[in-house]
Amino acid sequence: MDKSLLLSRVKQAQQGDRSAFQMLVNESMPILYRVVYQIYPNRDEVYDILQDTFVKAYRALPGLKNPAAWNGWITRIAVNTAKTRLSRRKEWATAPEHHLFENTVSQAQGAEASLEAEDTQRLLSEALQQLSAEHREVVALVELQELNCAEAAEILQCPAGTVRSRLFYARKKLSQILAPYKKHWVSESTDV
Amino acid sequence: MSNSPFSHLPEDASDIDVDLTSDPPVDSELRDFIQRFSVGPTPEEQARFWDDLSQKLPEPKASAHVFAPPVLKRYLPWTALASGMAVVLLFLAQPGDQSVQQAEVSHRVEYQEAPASEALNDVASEAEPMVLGAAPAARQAPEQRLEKAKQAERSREGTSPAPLGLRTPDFPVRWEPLSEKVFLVHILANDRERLLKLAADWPSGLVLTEVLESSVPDTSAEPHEKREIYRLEDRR
Repeated sequence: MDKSLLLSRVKQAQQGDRSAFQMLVNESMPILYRVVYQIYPNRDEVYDILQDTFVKAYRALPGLKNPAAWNGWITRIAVNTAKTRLSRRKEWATAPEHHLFENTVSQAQGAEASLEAEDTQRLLSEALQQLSAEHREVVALVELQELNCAEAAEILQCPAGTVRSRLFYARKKLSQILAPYKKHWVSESTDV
Repeated sequence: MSNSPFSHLPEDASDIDVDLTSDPPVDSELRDFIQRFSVGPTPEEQARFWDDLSQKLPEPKASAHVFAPPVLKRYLPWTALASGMAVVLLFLAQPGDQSVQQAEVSHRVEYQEAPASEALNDVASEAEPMVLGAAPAARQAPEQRLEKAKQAERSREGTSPAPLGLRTPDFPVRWEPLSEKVFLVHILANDRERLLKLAADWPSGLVLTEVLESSVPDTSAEPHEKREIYRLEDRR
């Protein structure tokens, strides 16, 4: 979203403009869904977490001092809500709801399988699930939400250097997992 | 490896030091791939998301924007200042006979120092704790006692016999002699009609006039506690 447009909508929403808030929700929800899913890989839970996230945001929005920081602010609420829910249920870093692509990677080692878009999604999901929870969080915040390492560090409450280190090793691990498919997914991500 | 989005990485990352002081370059191919193919909301979830959410959001108050914190910060000091000045001006501009006001004040002092007032205070202080969290029925008894004490004081105040051979009225009246033929008549404001009705039956030659400014607005007093003062003169 254009920054000036985002700023305008956040300010309108802060003054009680419900339709402006609705537009913010519609813009932010899809990417937040992808971020939260990396922390809590369960669709139903992600949906509820995001509902809670936006309710909290709506109440706290008048107190947001820097409207330009909307993305980082709403992401922090979503991540904290997801982690709180996870810690309550003690399901931190558990397997995803459906064991996506459980054997595909091992079966396809060295194979030049032709992957459809749906298969590509499953391949990525499986690859991400092989990362540690900490590495997945960093990938979600930096690669999905496009935050810089300092912003991600603030949300994760750790030093920025830790985020950079985790990002480096997360990328390395992903490259190793996806190596057998790289020709396909590189072409799909550029062609599609 | 030339086409790989990870081409910037060495084959064995363990052999290098990770730069922890600056952000690594954006890997746009990897980022695009993750953004395109990570698990996102289904169209059905997206479609019903706002409907579900809007039911959970608190309803906006009609004047919410007026009292939003930034607006309050801007206008509250000026509003407070204007209100304060208005109160001061009202106080300064208030006309009135100071002697009557002083009399009223001294009368109030007497009123407060009377034994019945102490009883009132006792009852009030006893009743106060009952108000918090007490059931209506439980509150009723102290309130009734308070009202009875007030009535007792009123009746005590009105027991002074009427001068000039007049019949003592059945409502609280205090007769304050200024001379043999002139009296100040203190009544509760609520009893004004009753006093005027009574005066209509008095013999001719008895003149009742209202002391101007006697009904000084007293915002602290309850309506039934406001007082009026009349002047009774025997011109017979």
